[in-house]
Amino acid sequence: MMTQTGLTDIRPLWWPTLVAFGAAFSLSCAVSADEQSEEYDGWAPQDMSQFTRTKEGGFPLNVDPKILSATEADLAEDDLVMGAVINGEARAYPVNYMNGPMHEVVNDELGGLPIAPTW
Amino acid sequence: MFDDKPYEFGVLGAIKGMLTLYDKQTNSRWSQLFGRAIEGPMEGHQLERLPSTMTTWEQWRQLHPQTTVYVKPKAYYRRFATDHFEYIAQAASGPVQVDDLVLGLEGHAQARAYLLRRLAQQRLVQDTFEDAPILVYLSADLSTVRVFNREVEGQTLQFALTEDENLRDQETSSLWHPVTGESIQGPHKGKKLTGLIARYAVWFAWHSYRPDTHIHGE
Repeated sequence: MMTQTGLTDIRPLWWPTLVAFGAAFSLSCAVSADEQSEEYDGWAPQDMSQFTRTKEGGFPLNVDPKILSATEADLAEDDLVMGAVINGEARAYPVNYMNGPMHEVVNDELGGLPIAPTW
Repeated sequence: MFDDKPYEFGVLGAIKGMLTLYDKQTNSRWSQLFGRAIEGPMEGHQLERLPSTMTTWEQWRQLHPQTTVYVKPKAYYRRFATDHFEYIAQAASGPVQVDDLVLGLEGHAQARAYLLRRLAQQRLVQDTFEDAPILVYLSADLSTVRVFNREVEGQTLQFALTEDENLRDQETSSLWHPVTGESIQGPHKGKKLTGLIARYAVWFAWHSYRPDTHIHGE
């Protein structure tokens, strides 16, 4: 049984090492892919392999991230997170906060190590 | 994918569908998927990849009750659509598409990709990667993928998924937590399977990273 979020929202781009920038633009148009298997005839991800778009000078850096405790954070149970444990210190990076060109990489420090979680 | 560095990274944009970063210190360009500088003073420099777990908040919090959380103002919060989960759950057949989501495993001599929408059918795959017996597990809600080495104290174990979403090995009937890889019951209780770093990527991106990749099952 799949988890249903029950919301219509920004089209997905929830795989971590990919071009959320481009997908946020094109997937909001929700065009279905050309080829489908015979059984399935619904939404499918689009071909983004030719998409190029950069910002002159780059997007602003995402620094001094805001970090809350688990109870303060107010996340939904089925929110997808990228979790890491470094030197015994655990932190969750909710994927829902890492969409869009400015937010796909964070400059953070965890367990004393400077890290760049990226989505 | 987490990388460890003394530099500060920002997003430059997408180039041929690949997320490209820059660093403040040298203004070099970095491939996000490769974790490597592709242009500029730092060209060729490889960032260290650190293990991370993609899972639901509920699952992560159970595993790490003391965890902290990175947040942005609520205005930046965007929930995922269900479309992609449905696609992965239902579109099992059909050839690999350019934008198909895959789970990528990379070794020195081998690289393999598991198509998420095929993985969603069985949810537990056991095979061999670079001479190591491995298992690939995808949770029922499709949120969490784990890859483990199936060898415990020199013995290769064969696993099955139980009804309550645990792994059980055929050799000793021990139960194992599918996300932590730790045995929670039986003769192997307390032992932990070694995890392998596997990454999500879109097929065209992964293929450009490791052109030698074989797709599992093909």
